[in-house]
Amino acid sequence: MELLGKEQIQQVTGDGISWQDAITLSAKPLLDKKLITTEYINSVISICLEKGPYMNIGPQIVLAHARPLSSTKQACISLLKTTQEVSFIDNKHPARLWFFLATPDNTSHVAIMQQLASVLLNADKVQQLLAAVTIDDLANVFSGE
Amino acid sequence: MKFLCICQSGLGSSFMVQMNIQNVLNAMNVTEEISVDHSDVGSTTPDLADYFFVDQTLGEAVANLPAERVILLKSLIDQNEIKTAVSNILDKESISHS
Repeated sequence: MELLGKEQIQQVTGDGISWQDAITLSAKPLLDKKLITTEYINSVISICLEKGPYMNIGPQIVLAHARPLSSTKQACISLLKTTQEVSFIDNKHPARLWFFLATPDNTSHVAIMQQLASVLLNADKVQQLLAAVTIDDLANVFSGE
Repeated sequence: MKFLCICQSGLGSSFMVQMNIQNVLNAMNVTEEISVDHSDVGSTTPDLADYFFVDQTLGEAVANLPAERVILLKSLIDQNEIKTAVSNILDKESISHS
């Protein structure tokens, strides 16, 4: 199964939006499919506000997530790319790739994380994501092993 | 030898670090058994591992762990940064690697 299909990927300029907006928008494909609830999105934003920018896991990349919630239907992931940088919490943490991860329990997301790691631990693939122009370009990075 | 990667929820960021470390250990031909796991900040105590890896912005949250066994990371996905940190530990512990 491919990690991120086109229907889970969005791209916007990022002009005039906050990091909270970016996270909320990044989760929209999962919310629309009713895989997650707004309760989970609010939980993610609360953790960011409380614990700081640690979800900025590498340059330009945020992996937004929170503890499992039973209202999450299945492990799922989506991606928003902002073509302009949006500051994550403070201006020392600019980001353009906003991943949103949800899981109903402590184990269901393992396969997703392994696939995500195979892309994000590969500096060339991260560069391809940052250089991507279209949704197709972004999706191809995840499908082309 | 046990490495434990920690983050706030013990699900995403810490798991990413775990996979990064496992890749690096494989690439460094380390034969000694080193277990790598991940957990959340709240349930991590000093006895759970020999070394702890955590994002530098969570440094204050792990003040209960002995600083000499805590590795603060700038990036969780940078293989070179992890390789340097792991090499330093292996050298300190006299564990052979390439």
